[in-house]
Amino acid sequence: MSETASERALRLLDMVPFLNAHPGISIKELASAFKISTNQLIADLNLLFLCGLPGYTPLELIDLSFDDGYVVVKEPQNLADPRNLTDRELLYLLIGLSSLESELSGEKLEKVKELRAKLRISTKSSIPLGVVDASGSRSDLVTLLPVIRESLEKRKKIRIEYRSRSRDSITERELSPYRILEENGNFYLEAYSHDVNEFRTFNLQNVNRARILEEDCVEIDEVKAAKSEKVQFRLDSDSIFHLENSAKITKTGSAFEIDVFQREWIVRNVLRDGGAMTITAPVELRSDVRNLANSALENYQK
Amino acid sequence: MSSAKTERLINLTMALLGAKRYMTKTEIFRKVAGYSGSAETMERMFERDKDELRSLGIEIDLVNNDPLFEDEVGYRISPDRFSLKPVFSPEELGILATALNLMSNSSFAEDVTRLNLKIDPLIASHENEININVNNSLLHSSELKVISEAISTRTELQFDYKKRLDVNPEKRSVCPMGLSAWRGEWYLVGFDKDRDDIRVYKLSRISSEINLIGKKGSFEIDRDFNVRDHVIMYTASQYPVTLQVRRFTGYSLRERAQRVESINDDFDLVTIDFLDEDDALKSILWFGDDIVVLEPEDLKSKVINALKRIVGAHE
Repeated sequence: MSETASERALRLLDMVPFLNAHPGISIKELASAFKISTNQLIADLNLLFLCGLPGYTPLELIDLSFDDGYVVVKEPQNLADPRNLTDRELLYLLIGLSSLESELSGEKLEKVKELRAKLRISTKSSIPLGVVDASGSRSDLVTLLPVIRESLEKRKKIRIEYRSRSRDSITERELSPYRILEENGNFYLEAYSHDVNEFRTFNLQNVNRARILEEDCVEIDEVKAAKSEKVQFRLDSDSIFHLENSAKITKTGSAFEIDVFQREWIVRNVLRDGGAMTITAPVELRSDVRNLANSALENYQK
Repeated sequence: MSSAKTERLINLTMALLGAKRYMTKTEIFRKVAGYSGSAETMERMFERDKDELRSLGIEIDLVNNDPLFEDEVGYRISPDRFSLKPVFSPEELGILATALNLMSNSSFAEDVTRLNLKIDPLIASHENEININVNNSLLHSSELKVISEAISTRTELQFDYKKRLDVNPEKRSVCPMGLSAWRGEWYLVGFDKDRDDIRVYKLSRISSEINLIGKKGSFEIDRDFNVRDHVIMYTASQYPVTLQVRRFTGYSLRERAQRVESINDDFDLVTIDFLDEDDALKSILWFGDDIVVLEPEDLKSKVINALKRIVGAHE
């Protein structure tokens, strides 16, 4: 790709402050920093020689030497400081700093926040500071999700450390993951748990760590056929949990069908949706929902 | 390759940057090396040079009503805006170095080369990298680059978006305003032109290429815009609720609780700040008969109504 005159000018404008900060840098190093050939670099340096401020006497020209293979800028004129960041560069930097923030807490986090503000002011950019925020991306989930997705893809078992409901106990589980469910930023993993030989739903908030094992997953479809049941439901509103892999749920007209391993899980989802979701089959599940809702209502009649 | 033009562009930049006051075109043609030929040729040269510098991000200010210049327009590059002043502490430079390092190992690698060269002169004199072991999978996203480009140039975006699993993707035209990562997923906050409102899009639900549409600078982003105001997960919890929670149940709620008090053998008294009424309603209903709402009255009747509706639908 051939470079335009103005792109080259920009490189030269950036080269002067770089040289100013690295007196005596070798031609080779300099060329590799700017990702150009040494021939191109020498042509660039020869051109810089000719540039300067109006008047263009030796006093006003950029002065540099590079005869012995090392470059020194003796007089950068008014190009000593690096060029300001463009809006795009500032945005990139804010994205980088934000992802750093998601890993930090306390004093260090405050320092990064301060730096963001300082950058905005010193670059005089019109990009608002609040344009990027990654602080809600906690590292544990950032590391968990890729592990689970990889396991789903390669069909390898995983081992997780799980904080179970009775808070104090932390257990290790060996799982064959089936699917990831998500609602408003809460992630759930449905998996066959080999320790209890049953399908379970795990709230990823309670998973401390996960790692992939060598062993292949059990054939989910076979186990599933034995353990799961098909539940049909109807939806009246937007509010529904999202399945990452929509192939695991089927839709015919306004009716949905989903494989359910834990009745309790789907029953609670119906309740949570406050009437937007109605189970149409099987009938026993309809009465499970009715019974739980009735029992909750009784609490208010006492 | 002709070096003459490159040389002229650098000379023009340096002259405008060093000018104590605005330079008229006449002055520029007389003083800046590289301008020659007929008045018309020089005029054309200058217009092109100016546009090219601007398109590369060098701001050239102009005045045209200064009495000193009569009808002539004056040009200048503000040193304040042109260069990045070394105002950062060694520690801050360390943070910058870490962030850049992070980006150099991500989808952004190519794009930060120039950025690295700009920041490098500031960092060069300090070797003080803060040492944080960062997992940068957040930065591995090609969509992020396109969207950054669009935000920084205020260019509209178009893409297909699948709002839920049960609907077909729809085409969206969006003025992108911000990005937010939540639990490992990126979200775009933008003004949806067809819906005439600010909406939040999860990048993983965009089902097509993301295209930049139309002219740069076609909208503005408010100076005090903040993605946190739009992404629900960040909204402050400000809906206080008092509940009875059956003992040994509702652990995920208890973790959010302000106070937990034992009141009898069956129930504990729990106070929690939810995000809003909807958050409270959903979280409470999930627990079925393990939770009883005491206050507010309004929420209590909503819970009762929802339960009645559910019973009715499953009769």
